[in-house]
Amino acid sequence: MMETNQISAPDKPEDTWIVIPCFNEDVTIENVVNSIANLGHSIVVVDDGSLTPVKERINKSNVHVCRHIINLGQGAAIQTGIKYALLHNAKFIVTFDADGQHRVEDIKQVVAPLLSGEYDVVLGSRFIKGGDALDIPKTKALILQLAILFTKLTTGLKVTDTHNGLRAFTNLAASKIQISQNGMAHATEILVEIKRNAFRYTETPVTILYTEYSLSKGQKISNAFNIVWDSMMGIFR
Amino acid sequence: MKLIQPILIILLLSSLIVYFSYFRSILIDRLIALALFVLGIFAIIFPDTTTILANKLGVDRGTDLIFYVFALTTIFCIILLYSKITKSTRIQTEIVREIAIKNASNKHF
Repeated sequence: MMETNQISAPDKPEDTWIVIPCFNEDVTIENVVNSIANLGHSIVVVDDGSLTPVKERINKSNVHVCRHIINLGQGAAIQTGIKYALLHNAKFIVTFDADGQHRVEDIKQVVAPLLSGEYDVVLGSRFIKGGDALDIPKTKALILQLAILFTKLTTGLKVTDTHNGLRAFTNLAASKIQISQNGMAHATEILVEIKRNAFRYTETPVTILYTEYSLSKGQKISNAFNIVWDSMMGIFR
Repeated sequence: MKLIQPILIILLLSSLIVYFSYFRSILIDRLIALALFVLGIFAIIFPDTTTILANKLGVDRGTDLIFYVFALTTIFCIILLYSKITKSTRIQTEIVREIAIKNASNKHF
């Protein structure tokens, strides 16, 4: 990928779009959105068919809310958000989880490597130096390590964290990535897309906050099998 | 288990995968289904031929051969259905996505 140098500094904060997939995150969504909105970035919350629509509770000029009329899954929600942001001429697109497990200050960290035009994609990692996974349960850490191994074997990418919701893309990279895995296998699929498009990627340390809430809402460990299954069954399309 | 058996299983699975990933077409799907149907009719009219064929292939009875073919046909149909469902899910996703974008709050285009 050589054609990325349409990026001109200085960047206006509203040209960076934060995509927040959201499914029944009533407790956290407002706080997450408000704290990001204060940075001046544009935000698109993709309400993935939540029981109580998000739209009614968020009213800010730089926050857009798209609502899936039925629940499709996080992968589908991210793809919708990316498409929406691209329609608004986003320069950079950041994916950010709605459950409060990411720190707002890490947005700057994942966008920074894109500014120079040196990279197409930046992946947040909780497992490289400087990153942190506060209070991560042991079993979850183990499953994540297995996921990383699985990714290394299937894609050959040398990444240290495969299922981190905090990532940043240039508009060009985002427009080429097609997420067809509606469910949680999209995290692996994004990596496959990075490989397929030969994107220049890097990892940057981020901190994941494991709260009682994010753990109860987050991925169940047993879902790891489903993710592997979905990824493998992708060949029968 | 004879050595040939695992080899056959691997060959069969990989040919299915190759077929569904690269050579898939509605025409070929239907030709395969039609061929299996014709074979079924043939086996009904000439039941002895299945036994003769079975013996040639190293399977004891014609019934067993039919059973194996039946199993393969079932697998083929399941994968066919799976891929149809996947396709219709993809279409459904596109529709839901378009509605979401169209009805978004604050959009500027």
